[in-house]
Amino acid sequence: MGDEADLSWVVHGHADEHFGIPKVIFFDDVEKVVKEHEVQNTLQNLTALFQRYKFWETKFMKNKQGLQQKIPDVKRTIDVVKTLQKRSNSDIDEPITTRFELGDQIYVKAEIPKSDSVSLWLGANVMIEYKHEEAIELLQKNLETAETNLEHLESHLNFIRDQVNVTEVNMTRVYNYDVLQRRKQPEASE
Amino acid sequence: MESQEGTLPLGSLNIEQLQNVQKSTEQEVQSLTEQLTQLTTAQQRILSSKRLAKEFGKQPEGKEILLPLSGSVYVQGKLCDTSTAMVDLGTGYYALKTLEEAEEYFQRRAAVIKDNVDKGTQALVQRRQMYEAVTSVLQQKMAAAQRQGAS
Amino acid sequence: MGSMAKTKSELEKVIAEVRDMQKDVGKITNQQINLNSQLTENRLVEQELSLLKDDAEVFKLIGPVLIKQDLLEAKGNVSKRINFITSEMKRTDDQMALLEQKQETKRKQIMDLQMKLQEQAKQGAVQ
Repeated sequence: MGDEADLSWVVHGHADEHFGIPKVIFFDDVEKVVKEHEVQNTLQNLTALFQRYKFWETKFMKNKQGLQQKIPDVKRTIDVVKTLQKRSNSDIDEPITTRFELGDQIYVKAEIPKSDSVSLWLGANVMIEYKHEEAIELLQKNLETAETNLEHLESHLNFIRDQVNVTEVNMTRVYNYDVLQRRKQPEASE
Repeated sequence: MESQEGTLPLGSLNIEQLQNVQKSTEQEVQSLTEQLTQLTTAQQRILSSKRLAKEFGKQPEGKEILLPLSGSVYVQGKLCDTSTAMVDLGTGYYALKTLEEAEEYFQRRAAVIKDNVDKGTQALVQRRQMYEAVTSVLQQKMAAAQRQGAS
Repeated sequence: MGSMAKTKSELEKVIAEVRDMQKDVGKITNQQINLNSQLTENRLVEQELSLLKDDAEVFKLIGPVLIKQDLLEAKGNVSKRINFITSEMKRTDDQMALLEQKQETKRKQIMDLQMKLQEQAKQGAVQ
């Protein structure tokens, strides 16, 4: 029963992990594996591993989608602040008139006087006022973090997809080996 | 199709047919529930916008506010016109209205949605009843078949 | 027995064709749903535009820019759009009807082939 959770012999060690995700061992010699661990046990372990990979894949896909939405938003926000900055640095003293979204489908007018700062909503009911340069710096950092995370996610997903393929190949080969053995057995016993 | 299904003698269907009808009714219930949820969400948004149009008129002109520009950026500003609002009519068209007209607009939209919500609720109730009827007949038939098989 | 194999492969071919037609039915249904919702939305806008006073200001969102429109022009554009959508809907309805007709024919073919297969099997068994 301890075999259920014991995937240690199916994957390589920590040294080969990809950011904590184990790397599955490719069964070169299926016969040897089956002799040591038995078909049922092997397939059970491979299936458990497969499901774990799939779980990770779904989770990472979700994170990836979230980031893919967030990144253009941050870029747009940076543009807005840069525009405000340009205007405040210029000689134009008049306030900007704009319409902002009061609610769904309704927009109302407001005047924005010349200013050298903006307020950023940081989440968790926190809003902080920053000078334009500081705001842009902060937003840029957020953007870079998000873009780096996205790259990491891509590499995780690629790694996982490879492992899923190898796991599936292992499962197929073990299963086929088993079928072959069963076919031979009746002949052998006769 | 509605009247046909209403008079469909469930008793005359065999187990497999009943299971098919059960499955398709279940799917209909699910999709109707989803649609209804979307409608009620839209309804809440419209009513909220209506309320905003009403409340906004009470704000003094020149009031200092923090307004959102994009994403999570807010700037300090002043209200400079508390008598008009730009309303999104749909398909990319916007109209400048007085706050009263805006309220009326949202009221009209809300009425249309309420209509759809009522129709949707009715349809959902009907489908649920159908599902329960099929399930009960199915269970009876399956129990009868088991008894036969046992003997 | 050879003729049975032939009938079988014919049958499989027609079944595959019906399956492809089902996919097309799905596609057209999606188009219909899409057109329907566009029609509803445009009708709402048409109604709202008609309720506006003659001097009311309307704008259209083109890209990120809100551009002022002439009310009559806007009404005309929406009306044209509605006509276009309605004619597209008629076209897809016709497409759908044609497809359903074709499917019916194929389904009859399937039944005929299935009966033929049964007959051939009987004959084969008798021999």
